[in-house]
Amino acid sequence: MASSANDRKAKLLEHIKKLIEQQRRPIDDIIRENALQYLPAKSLLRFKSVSKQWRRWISSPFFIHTQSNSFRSLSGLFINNNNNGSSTSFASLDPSSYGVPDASLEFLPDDVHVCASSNGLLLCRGKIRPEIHNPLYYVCNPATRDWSFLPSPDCDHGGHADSVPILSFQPSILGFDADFEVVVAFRIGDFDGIYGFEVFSSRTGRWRPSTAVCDGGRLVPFSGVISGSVFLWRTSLPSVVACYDADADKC
Amino acid sequence: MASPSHTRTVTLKSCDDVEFVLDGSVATLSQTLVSAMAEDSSSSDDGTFTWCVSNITGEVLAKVVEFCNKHADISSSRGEDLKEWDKAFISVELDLLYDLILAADNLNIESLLDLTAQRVADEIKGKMPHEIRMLFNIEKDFTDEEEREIRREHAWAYGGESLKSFL
Repeated sequence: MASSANDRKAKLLEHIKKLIEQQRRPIDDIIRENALQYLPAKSLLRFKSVSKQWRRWISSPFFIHTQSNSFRSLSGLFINNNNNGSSTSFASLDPSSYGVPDASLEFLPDDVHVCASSNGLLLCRGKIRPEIHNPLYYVCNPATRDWSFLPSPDCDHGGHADSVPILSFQPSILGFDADFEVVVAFRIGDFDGIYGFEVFSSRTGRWRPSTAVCDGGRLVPFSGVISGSVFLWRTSLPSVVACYDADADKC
Repeated sequence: MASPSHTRTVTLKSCDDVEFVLDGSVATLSQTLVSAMAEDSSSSDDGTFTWCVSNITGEVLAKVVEFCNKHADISSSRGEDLKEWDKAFISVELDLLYDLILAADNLNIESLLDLTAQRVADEIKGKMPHEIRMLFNIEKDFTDEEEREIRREHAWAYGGESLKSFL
């Protein structure tokens, strides 16, 4: 009978081992450590009230950094309203998970026009008013309402119709500072379709005027895209694309 | 000393005794297997290695093996094609999805963990906190007052016309 007692004991040990193994990593931990980084800001802020552990996890700087690298879905569209009333609005692709606390961006100290976006950040420009010659640029995170303004550029960027900015915010695993660049292509003087460039880098905190000039037709507003250090715009001419290389300062 | 993992074949055995034979190079996608093979000195002569996964069923393990075979095959691991393949692969029932993320964690297969985690994120992103607690068996350790306070901080995040729990 000794062998059957041993069998029973072995079976029990096996069973306990299995339980411990399953218990070692509860699904809660696995989900929290692996899946939360792929969630949008709205879901995450809501999930802070799941448990104390979830709240700590979602609030930690390391998680925030990881999430900005991992979450890359399109969440919605900011719309500039030309009529009076709130200056901007947000059209969410899925209101239960994508959204912002203040779609009219009233946390900014100015009425603004959204001119570009990049991986969760917005570039806005203050409303053109007769008394202000060169309106300020603002960069903000509409999910957290954090914002900063850029110093006044050296060049005259003209009105909204005269300048076509691109914002470049490229989160990377090793880049703990949320650095961004703004490249503004602006119309030179009264010449139609001739553009100069000025670049702002958050690393230096300064604008850098470019010596490059581009004359490939009128740049299409909001058409800017980024590829590495190269900024590209569609132009009013068929199949002509304007490009500016910020590293080489060449057009 | 154990022989280098790529020269061996690995037999994976599920909790319901289904066996899968893997090429050593395929098995290296699993960090758990890599560590186990490095520690193992018993079967280094015949070049085979057997590993029992006590909490993964044959059905789930078959999917894991399918994934590893595809991802270890360098000729098929080209960007867009593999992305399409992954997308089709992960279109599974929810039960199997959660089995797979546990298996990926257990066997420590990073690419499978990422893929399953992204799909899980998609499934849960529209849920309310109490649904998350119920789904993953999480205890609410806030008092009602604390919970109200935390909800007030980001009250806007609880709204949204299409929240399923309100329907």
